[in-house]
Amino acid sequence: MAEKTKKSANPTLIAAVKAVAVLVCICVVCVALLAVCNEFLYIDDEERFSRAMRDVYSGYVPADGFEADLTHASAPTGSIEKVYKSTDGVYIIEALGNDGYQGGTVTLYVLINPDATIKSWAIKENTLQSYIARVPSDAGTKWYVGKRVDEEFVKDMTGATVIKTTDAIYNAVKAAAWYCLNTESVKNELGLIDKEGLARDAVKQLLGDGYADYDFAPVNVSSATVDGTKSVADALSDDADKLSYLFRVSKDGDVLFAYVYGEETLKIVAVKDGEILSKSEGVEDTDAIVANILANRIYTFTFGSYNAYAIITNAAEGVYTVAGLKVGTVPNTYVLKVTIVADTDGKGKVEKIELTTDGDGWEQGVPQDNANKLVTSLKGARLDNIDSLYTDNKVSGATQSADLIRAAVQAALTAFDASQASAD
Amino acid sequence: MKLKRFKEIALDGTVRQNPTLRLVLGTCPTLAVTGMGAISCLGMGAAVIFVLVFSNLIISLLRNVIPDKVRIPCFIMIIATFVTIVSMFMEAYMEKLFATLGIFLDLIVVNCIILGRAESFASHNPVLDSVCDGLFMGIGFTLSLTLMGIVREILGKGALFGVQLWNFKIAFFAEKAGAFLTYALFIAIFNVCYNAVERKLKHKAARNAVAIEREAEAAASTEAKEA
Repeated sequence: MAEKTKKSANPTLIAAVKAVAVLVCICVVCVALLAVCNEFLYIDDEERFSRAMRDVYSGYVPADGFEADLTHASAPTGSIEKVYKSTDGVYIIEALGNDGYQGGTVTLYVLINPDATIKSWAIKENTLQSYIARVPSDAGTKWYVGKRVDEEFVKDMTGATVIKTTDAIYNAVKAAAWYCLNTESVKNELGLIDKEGLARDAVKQLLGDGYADYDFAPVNVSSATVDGTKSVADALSDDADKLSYLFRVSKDGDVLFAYVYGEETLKIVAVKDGEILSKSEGVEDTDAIVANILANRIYTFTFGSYNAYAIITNAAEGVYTVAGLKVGTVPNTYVLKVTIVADTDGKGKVEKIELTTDGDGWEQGVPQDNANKLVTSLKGARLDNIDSLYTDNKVSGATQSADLIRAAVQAALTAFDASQASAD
Repeated sequence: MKLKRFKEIALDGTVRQNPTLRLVLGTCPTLAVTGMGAISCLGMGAAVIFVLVFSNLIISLLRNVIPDKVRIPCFIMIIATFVTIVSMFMEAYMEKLFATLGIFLDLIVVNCIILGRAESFASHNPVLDSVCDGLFMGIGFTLSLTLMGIVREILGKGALFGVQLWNFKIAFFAEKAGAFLTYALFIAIFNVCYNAVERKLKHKAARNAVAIEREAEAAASTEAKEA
């Protein structure tokens, strides 16, 4: 009986062993075959990279001696695998983006221009993204291209996408941007430092604790123009120094202006009522830019909830060229030529106003007519009656722009009265 | 292999048992890849032909060696090997096509056509027959895939083989729903035509049989008279 059992168990065991042996043999042969094929067909990282560069950046020439700083390789939306740099300053960041389809990833080469804008990107590889082919072939030269990889970009970019794969692409680009913002050497090179913030801190330091609770508001010196073409910064700068920032420092009606210039070392001049209140080291009264600042005085007015500025850039024989700088959200300027004559009591009186617009929020057509009407109505205005004249004629629905004109006229009258007083 | 057998296999693979339009196998890549354009369909077809031919070849060679109980893991192992090879080859030499086909290239491993032919044909037939079966099944799959790809590309994108023909396009045909509709229309048209042809052939064969029978009867009666 026992012999019989032994005999019947053997064929099963043999069949099982044979089955396993065959399966193992097939596996070994297949692995060997794949290993041989791998020898000939494997695409290494270098080849992948050069293929991607062929598609997106044919001008890539590796920068000599560049060593990637991967201290901040782990971004909130992905990670940084490798970083390359071209001799022309373009950074190529190999970034992996998370949260694709089925939690998979997409790895991109993200190219960042020396001016911190996105040049292009290309897909290197992906995991689990079955619809990766649906990403348009030209997406790498269109999506996000030209965007600056600053704080706003990283903060605001959210994935409003059709397929989850594009979420992973967003996340990879964001990871690359995050890397640029957090890696000191890259940040410096791409000019991603908050220069305005640094300038504001320097002004605060110069003015000291007495101004700690003041409001430091930047004035748009680079975009606002004083004559339709020349910016405020250009008007105040000279060959040696260029005005970089202007801050209006204010609290409860106490107003002063802090001018910041200088390339490597920031130089600051704080001016209140046309007089230098404070200045940083290295600023000389004889500097041409300081003379310009004092000569082109900025006046500030508050109309309701708006702050209005006006800068007088020319005052010859009673003709004042005045630029209204900024009122509320109006980004640009009105430039006026205001002719002031002495009234019977010696105070200034507007005789003529020439208006040039600079696309400051007024639309052409009917609103422009309203601007002209306002300017006409301010003819004959004096400092003591401009309030009533303005209130009667201000333009409903374009209050900020109207305030800008008023500020310019008011600045000219103030300057005229001040000059008369000093002459007396 | 006899010519008749070869013809049978060729006709089975391309028409009578067309994997896409008669057996309705491999529907996933059919629906997905036909939306990527005719070139992608050709690429997918070529990959499937390669895998079918070589997996059938190896499975047929080993059909007496592979134990019945482990045949499926063995088949899958062999198929996966050839899919990996074709995938590596495409990545090395056809990078754009590789990128376009994406995951569907790897999914050939689980394509019902390949496992189906391995199980139902290659594991029971001689090597040459199996290779021919793989080749013609692959050709049948490629033809139907490419034709559907052409129709969807023309209607959905206004292009043919990547060349823009006109700006008129019906986006529906490039979408998922369009894939189902196109597939259904192809199956319907193919089967209507196939059945019509088959009926005609049957009638013809029946007529021939009757004619032969009559001739035989006539000959027999003539012989009887003469006798």
